Amino acid sequence: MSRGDRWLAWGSGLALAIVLFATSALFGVTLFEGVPRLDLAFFVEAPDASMVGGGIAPALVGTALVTLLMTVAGVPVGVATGIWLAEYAPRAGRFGPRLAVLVRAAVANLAGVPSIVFGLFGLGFFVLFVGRGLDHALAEGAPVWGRPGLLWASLTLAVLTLPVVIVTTEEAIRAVPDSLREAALGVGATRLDTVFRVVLPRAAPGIWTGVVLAIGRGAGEVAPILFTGAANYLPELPNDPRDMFMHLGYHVYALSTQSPDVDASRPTLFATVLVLLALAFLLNLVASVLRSRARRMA
Amino acid sequence: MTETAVERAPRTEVEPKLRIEKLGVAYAGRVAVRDVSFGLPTNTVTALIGPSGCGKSTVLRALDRMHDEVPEAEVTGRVLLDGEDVYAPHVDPIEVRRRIGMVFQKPNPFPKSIFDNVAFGLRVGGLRNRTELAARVEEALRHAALWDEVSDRLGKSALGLSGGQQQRLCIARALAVRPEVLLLDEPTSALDPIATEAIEALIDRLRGEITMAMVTHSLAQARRVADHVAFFYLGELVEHGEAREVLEHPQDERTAAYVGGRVG
Amino acid sequence: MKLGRVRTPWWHRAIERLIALFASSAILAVIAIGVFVFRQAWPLLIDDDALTDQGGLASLFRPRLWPGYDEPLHVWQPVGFPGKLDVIPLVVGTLKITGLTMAIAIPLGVGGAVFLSEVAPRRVREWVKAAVELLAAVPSVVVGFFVLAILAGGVQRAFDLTYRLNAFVAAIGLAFAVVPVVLTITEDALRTVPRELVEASLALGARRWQTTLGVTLPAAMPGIAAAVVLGFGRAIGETMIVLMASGNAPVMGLDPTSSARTLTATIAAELGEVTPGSDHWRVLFLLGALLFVVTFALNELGRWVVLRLRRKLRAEEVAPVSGRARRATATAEVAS
Repeated sequence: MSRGDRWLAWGSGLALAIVLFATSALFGVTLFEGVPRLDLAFFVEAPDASMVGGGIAPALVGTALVTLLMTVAGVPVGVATGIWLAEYAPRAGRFGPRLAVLVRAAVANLAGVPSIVFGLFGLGFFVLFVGRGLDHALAEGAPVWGRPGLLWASLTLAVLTLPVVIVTTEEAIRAVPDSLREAALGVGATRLDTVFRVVLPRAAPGIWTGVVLAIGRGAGEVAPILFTGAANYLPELPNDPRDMFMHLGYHVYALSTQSPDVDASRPTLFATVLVLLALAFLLNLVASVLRSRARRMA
Repeated sequence: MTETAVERAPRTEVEPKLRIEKLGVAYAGRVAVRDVSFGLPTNTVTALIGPSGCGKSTVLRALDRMHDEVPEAEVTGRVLLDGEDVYAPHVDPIEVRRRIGMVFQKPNPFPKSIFDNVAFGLRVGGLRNRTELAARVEEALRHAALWDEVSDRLGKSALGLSGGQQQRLCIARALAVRPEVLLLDEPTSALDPIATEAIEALIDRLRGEITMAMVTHSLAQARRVADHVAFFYLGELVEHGEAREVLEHPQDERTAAYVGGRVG
Repeated sequence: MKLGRVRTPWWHRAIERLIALFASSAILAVIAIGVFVFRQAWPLLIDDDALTDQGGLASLFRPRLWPGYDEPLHVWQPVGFPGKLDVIPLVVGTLKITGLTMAIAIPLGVGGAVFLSEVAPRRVREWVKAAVELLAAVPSVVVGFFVLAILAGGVQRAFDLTYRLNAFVAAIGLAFAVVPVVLTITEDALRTVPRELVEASLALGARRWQTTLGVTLPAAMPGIAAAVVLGFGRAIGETMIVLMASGNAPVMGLDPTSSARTLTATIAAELGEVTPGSDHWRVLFLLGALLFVVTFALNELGRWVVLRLRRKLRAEEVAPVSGRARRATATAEVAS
């Protein structure tokens, strides 16, 4: 190794070491400070009014609900778009490929839109335009639809996570060898039969990777739900999709910036952050397992 | 080179099962095959031979409208199945492909069970009845001389089969929908000699039941299995006729050069 | 048997139509975001009565002599009397924090990527990439909390800073979010450089580092440029980290140790408490529209840069001996 080679190795290694150190510090400190506060009660109880004691049950449930609704609303659209881009666009006449260029550009741009802008969009479109519109149409006196709630937050997050699903679906479908398509078409299967019976089963692990990544992204986002449904303190669980809800991420934000007694709420905070981190870790693990399965199949 | 191909097939009165008329294929404006006309006589084997890149597979894929799946491909001319043009506007390629089956160069079983592979075409064709499905799968596997080897593991993945078995499975899958014509695109090029022999024996057994066209790179194979031979050179059909005639006494010098081992 | 009996079932076509319809969702979403964010800001631009107490639309960008101040200044203080809505301090804060972030994230991201693709053995690479992916999956509110609760105090003690929360620590926090973006894309770009190029350089007698700096990195430039532009977009748009870590004082000036307030944090912190339809509310939506346009432009810029660089590189490949290869030979001669 020449001196130049050593410099390169050490210099680049140092950069990476800093990144890894920062990552492990984040996880390590959270684990160290958060674990002692964890017990069963933390998961099943509501926070008390001071938000210092008690648990995070409503935030857990709220996060789960908003993520579930988001998935149900967004994944079918995203997967359909991926299918269209990979399977239909190249064959859809002269307009297909051109439209595909537009769709891909839109997906790339959608992925780059700041999350807070999604929040403004959710408020301006779902809450004020759609929601208020519904209130008008149904002649509701007080706003029923036209206020922040679980449904609107979920739909906002669904739009936000759309690019993740689209991109991974398209990639997964493209990785399916053409020989399989030909085999299906060769016995007289329609394009749709081919897609649903041959291509999608084969691409499934890749598509699921995208879904899990989208869930991970959606579950952790706070900015888009600030004005579209998240509540600061709401010990009751939502029992209507139009209700507001507590959310793990929002809870962390609220506790760390608006808590009346920061030192007292510190253990609760770390424990909540730990739960969020564990969630991100778990989803990431699932995604990488799925991805390696997808690679093995390709 | 616009001279018409040497046509030496006996002028039978019978209409061939599949008649190709002035077939041309172009990819993105670049002509790959032009002005090809010949027929596949009912229940015989026709071998498409010639150097690589001369349009044999392109012609074959045009016969069951696989080019429909390639956006930049453009097909001209007519392909008549029992006298009816499969490219007629009212004809759905789905139907064409059910009546004209295709086996590809590399075995391409689905990552499904052996049974599901063979049943695939039947299922997409709307067959739901389990007993009938089972019967048709068995029939196809027997037809493809694979039944004895796989009857005890129909539920196992098709990917566990050997290369030769996989290719016979693909033939069985094609046969299951009872096509009238079977197109084979170099079906043995990815296989070892023993597996090749099994496939050739199978083709020989199917002769007389189904009309077949096979692209092959091996003159020896054409000699062994073909009733008729069509020789392609640079995207054109040069010579077509009974196998023995074309292979033993080629009329065109290009055919003679290829058959004599001087070209390709 | 006559042809024409079997047809693709009508509902197959119907489902295919539906799929095509869904596929336009991304386009519709982008348009809808633009339209519905802008819609709330629109009255500011057309209504003469808007912003009268500010002195019209231009006042958003002009220094003004506010009551109680000695000289005309850019001030963002919407809850004061009168509310002062000058967005320049926010733009300055955003640029300050984003610039600092990139100064941290580019060396770390590109350096880390070089180590992974050029130095590290395969096993190490797999593990480290998994760790970086994990870092990318950490919610930004968690990073914000980490900076707020742990890092800020440490940095303040270490550098003896006046303010615990400031532009510098916010930039460190943002780097957590930006580094994974820069690192993964750069690493991909480095690894897609054709082996033949590297081998050609090594065959000419260039050393490893000469090959990396002279051949691999330049050849990967389009990807690295994309990585930087996308990282920049991420930094401008990130909300929760800056909201929690920057101190949020809308200070003019470029001192990294002073507090700063970004466009995103301003929207997040204030929108919940303003009257819908007020000037303040509309200005916040205008900031959102501004962010939307800027990130959109960055995205397109990134795509354009990649395209151009790629075309340039391809043109160079045509030349029999490229300038780069010649340079590699030259450096090899110097080194030996």
